[in-house]
Amino acid sequence: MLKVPILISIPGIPIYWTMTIIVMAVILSVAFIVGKSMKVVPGHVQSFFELIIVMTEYFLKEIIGDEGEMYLPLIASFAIFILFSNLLGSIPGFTSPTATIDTTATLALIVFVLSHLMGARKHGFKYLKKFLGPLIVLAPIMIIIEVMSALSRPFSHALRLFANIFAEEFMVTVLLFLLPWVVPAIMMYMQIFTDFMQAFVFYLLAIIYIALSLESEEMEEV
Amino acid sequence: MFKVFSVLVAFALVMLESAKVFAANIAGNSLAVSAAAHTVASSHAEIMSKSLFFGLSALGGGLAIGLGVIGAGVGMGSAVRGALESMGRNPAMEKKLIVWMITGMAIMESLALYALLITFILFYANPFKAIILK
Amino acid sequence: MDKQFIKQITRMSSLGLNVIISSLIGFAMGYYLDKYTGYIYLFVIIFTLIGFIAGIYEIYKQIKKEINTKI
Repeated sequence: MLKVPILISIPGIPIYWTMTIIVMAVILSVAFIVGKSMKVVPGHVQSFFELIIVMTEYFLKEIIGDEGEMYLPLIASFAIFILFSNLLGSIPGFTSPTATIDTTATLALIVFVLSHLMGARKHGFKYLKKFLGPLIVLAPIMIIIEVMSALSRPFSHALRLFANIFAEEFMVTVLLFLLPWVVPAIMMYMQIFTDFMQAFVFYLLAIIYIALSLESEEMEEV
Repeated sequence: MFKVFSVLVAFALVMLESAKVFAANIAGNSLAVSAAAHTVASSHAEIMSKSLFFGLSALGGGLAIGLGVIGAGVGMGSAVRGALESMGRNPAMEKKLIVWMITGMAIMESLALYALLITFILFYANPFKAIILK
Repeated sequence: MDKQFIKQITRMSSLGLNVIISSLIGFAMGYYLDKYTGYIYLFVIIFTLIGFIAGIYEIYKQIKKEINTKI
């Protein structure tokens, strides 16, 4: 497998751990600096963070409903973390931590477990009725089908982000070995659009999966 | 299209024939020369069969994703064309049509993903590798 | 921005991956069941087919929901 040159690599621990820690340090320091000096008329950085939080609030209210405000910290930090870690790949010498399946699978598993827990807590015992299908005669077959389609959600959720970011990184690496001049740099900065797009899609799908397990059976029939 | 097809057929024929010729060569040699040379020749045959196997599975993987994506691409193009034409006729239906277009495109995309799956299986998890490598 | 519109588009665009991944999950389940019970290729075939049906059923459910909602 081809490999990009990496600036910081501590031997013994995987590269994406260091990259995740770098992303966390960047986000925490930016949040600390911005939070220390909040203004009424926001500057560039503050308005960017405010945009993310206001947008998340809007989507949660529109898609989930009134009980959606509870998920604001989780979903907004998902958006900020994924966006920063996608954008870290555009700096030469670093790679995105989301270009490994471990990071994205962790994020998708959090959404999966949380959505089913909250659905079970809201509906109680009636939540199991969602897995039985429409006809009670076909229940033994339908339960396998429903469990499979429920299990395929976190996989596709994780795989989409991973595959897109990994393909970007891999394309730049291959181009770097084929013709190491201007072209890889151009391709590297073409990816910024894809980075924003994939972060947005992951974030929206997380909200939608939570909303799907929260909504009741009667709403689906209408 | 016919040209490409005939080139592919000729390529496959040449591959098959070369294997036969090589095998015949080895057989003739091994009959003629002593037992020491026989092991050398059989190791040659093994290397040849291994390289033929891996080369052909790489070729098959490339052809699978390439030819599979042609169909999905043509289908997606005609779907987008139909949706855009009907959107131009009736702009009030725009949002409904976009949702249906994306549904159809997701199903076509799954066909392309099946081709990608076959490519990955041929490249990374070849089921016949155990027979060749023993 | 229209909430229903964005919701539908995002949900529909993940259907293509769902079909293939649910059949892969079925394959994995069948493979381990085969290993556990000792059959050769019985559960693999059954569970791969069920996984494929699960993917198609997911598409059917989403389309039914899409017909019922108004944009």
